[in-house]
Amino acid sequence: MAAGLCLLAAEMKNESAPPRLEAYLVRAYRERYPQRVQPAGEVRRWWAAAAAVLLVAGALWTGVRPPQPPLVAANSGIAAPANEDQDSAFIPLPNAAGSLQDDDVDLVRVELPRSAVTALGMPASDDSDAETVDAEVLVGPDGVARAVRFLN
Amino acid sequence: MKVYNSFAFLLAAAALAFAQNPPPGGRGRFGAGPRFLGAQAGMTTRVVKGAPFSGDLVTESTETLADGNHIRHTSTVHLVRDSEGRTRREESLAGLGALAAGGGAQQVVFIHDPVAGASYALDPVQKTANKSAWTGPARGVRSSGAAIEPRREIRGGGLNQSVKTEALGAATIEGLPAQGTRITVTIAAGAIGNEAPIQVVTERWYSSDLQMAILVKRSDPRSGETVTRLTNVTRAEPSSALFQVPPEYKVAEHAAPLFRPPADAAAQ
Repeated sequence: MAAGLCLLAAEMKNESAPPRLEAYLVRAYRERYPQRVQPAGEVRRWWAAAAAVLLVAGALWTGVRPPQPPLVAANSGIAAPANEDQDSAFIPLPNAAGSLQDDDVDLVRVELPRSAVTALGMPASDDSDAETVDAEVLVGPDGVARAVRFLN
Repeated sequence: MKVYNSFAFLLAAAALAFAQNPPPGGRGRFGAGPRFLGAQAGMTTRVVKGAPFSGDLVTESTETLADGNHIRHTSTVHLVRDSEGRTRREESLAGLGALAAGGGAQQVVFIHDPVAGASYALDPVQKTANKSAWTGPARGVRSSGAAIEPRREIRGGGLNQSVKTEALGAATIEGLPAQGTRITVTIAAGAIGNEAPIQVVTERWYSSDLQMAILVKRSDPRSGETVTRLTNVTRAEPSSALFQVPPEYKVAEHAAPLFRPPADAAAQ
């Protein structure tokens, strides 16, 4: 029997169902399992709405984000957390010495006008259009800045 | 379409609110001076018990430029300490010197509480407190009567320099008896490319009662002169409320301490 079936298969190798039958089966399938096809304009509007939500959330998060921990506190006997990367070191400031207790420092994070960088005698980057720069400042117990690190 | 319009309205409202709310610090985003973003209390290397006081720590610095021009800065810190060694510092961003040009009115309060085992940085404008884990003193606790001045090492090994220490005797400063010391560090000619020797002179007056220096004068030809003095000293026990976060403040907490003592200090 197997040999007969193989022979029949070889003879019908070039035979196929008529296109009309295929079209009928497809139509019957879609009637049984209806699928909603969204118009292209509606899809675009949903994507735009999602992008708007992400934009608003990002802007709000940027404006109210809590202080981030400092990465490295060099030159002050302060070590960075082990799980943090060392992006840039703190730069000692003039007149930073001569305090009452040099080892105690706290950290203040500020947004500075870019002109403050040049006021320190440091070159301001020309390849940035930003008017401000974020900085972390180590402050001694006398309230005087000991070192600064620019974050961007 | 209705949903789409709702999102558009939300976007417009959020953008309007974001543009109208001035950022903390009392100035616009692109105004002059620094804008305060936050603060975090660091490590206290020394806890002094049994010597409460409050006073103002005033620092005046003068930098003389090569053309004879001068840059002057003054900052004041209100300092409070109780018998348990808790400290509170109220200061403004003016202490940032050149970084605070055009601003600096924002106040910051730092509280170090070895009893509760926590440190706080308070933002009086936003009513927020940033709590840090207490890392403890790295160099031991001094109690009243153990009037030992902290050891101050002259760092910079490898430099061709000499250090000379002189005792200046006793004096009364701001009503407090103090012992004076002058330390002169001389950097030899050529050590850092200098044609002539450079002398850095530091004069310190140490109060055994408060266990801290109450007057420090430092002169360095490279950076200028700095004078730090403690004034308006009161020896009364301060209110314990000064070392607590006001209940209306919102407290944020850092799980891990940011600052660790240096390896050499921790080993002591």
